[in-house]
Amino acid sequence: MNPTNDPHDDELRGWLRALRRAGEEKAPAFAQTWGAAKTRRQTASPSWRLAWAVATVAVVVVMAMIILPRPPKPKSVATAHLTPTPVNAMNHEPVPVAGVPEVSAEGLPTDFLLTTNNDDSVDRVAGEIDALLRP
Amino acid sequence: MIAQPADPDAIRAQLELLHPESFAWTLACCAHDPAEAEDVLQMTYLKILDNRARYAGRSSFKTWLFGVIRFTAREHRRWFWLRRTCRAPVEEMAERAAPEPAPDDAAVRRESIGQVQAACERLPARQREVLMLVFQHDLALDEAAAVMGVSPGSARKHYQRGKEQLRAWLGPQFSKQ
Repeated sequence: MNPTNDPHDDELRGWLRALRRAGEEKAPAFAQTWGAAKTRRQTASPSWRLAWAVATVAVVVVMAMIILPRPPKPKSVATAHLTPTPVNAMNHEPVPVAGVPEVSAEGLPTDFLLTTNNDDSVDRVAGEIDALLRP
Repeated sequence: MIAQPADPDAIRAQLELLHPESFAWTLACCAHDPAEAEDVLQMTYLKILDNRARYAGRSSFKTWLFGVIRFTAREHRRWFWLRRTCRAPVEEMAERAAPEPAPDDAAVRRESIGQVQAACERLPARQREVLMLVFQHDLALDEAAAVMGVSPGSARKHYQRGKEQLRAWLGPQFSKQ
């Protein structure tokens, strides 16, 4: 594919060619550049390779730390006991868990009726009911 | 098209043949800094010596080599990006590139070339590169696209825009000649 020609192309080409010639005149001898590259190879290559190896290992380690799954945290005993106690639909009594009183206390909202010690109020209510039922 | 070099000696011979032109291209990739260009060209040769850059024969040797030079120059400039941000303004570069005004034609021409160089430096990198590759180094747009690592369509777009921009900036220069 060749670029389209317009009247200014030749002029631009001429100027840019002149630029290129000016650049070529500044070029060092090939033997000098080639020799310098060879010298760099001998001196810099081992350290470059070492740096490259270290960088690669570091990247691999970091990636492994990010990507590899971590072992799950072991659940503590207390956490396991705090799991809500299954309640039988027909029997609302909380299921007692041995050694963990907090769990049995976490039963139904009406549990206080089973544990209340306020016998006076119960007697008073019973007396009032008897009075109402009396003719 | 240059023959495909197969062995290290052939590669060395091709590099030697293209050396002046390679240096001119390296200069263009390094904002016309000769010291930096020499460093980049050494690094390019080092990559070839180390086999980090291998010619696979998929394009002409020159296209491949110019691609390696461009990549190396970009790599190099990335490390020294501060230098780039501190580049002198275009007007100063034009003054620097052009010699003292002189009445003879050669001086006028040198001044014009300096202005063209300064204008090229003002262009976005891809537009500048494609114009340099096509006009300075006689590559076809396809080859320029291969050197730049862009599609031929994209290279054509950069080429057209670059030319339009240069024409806008250098209009008086063009009409003077």
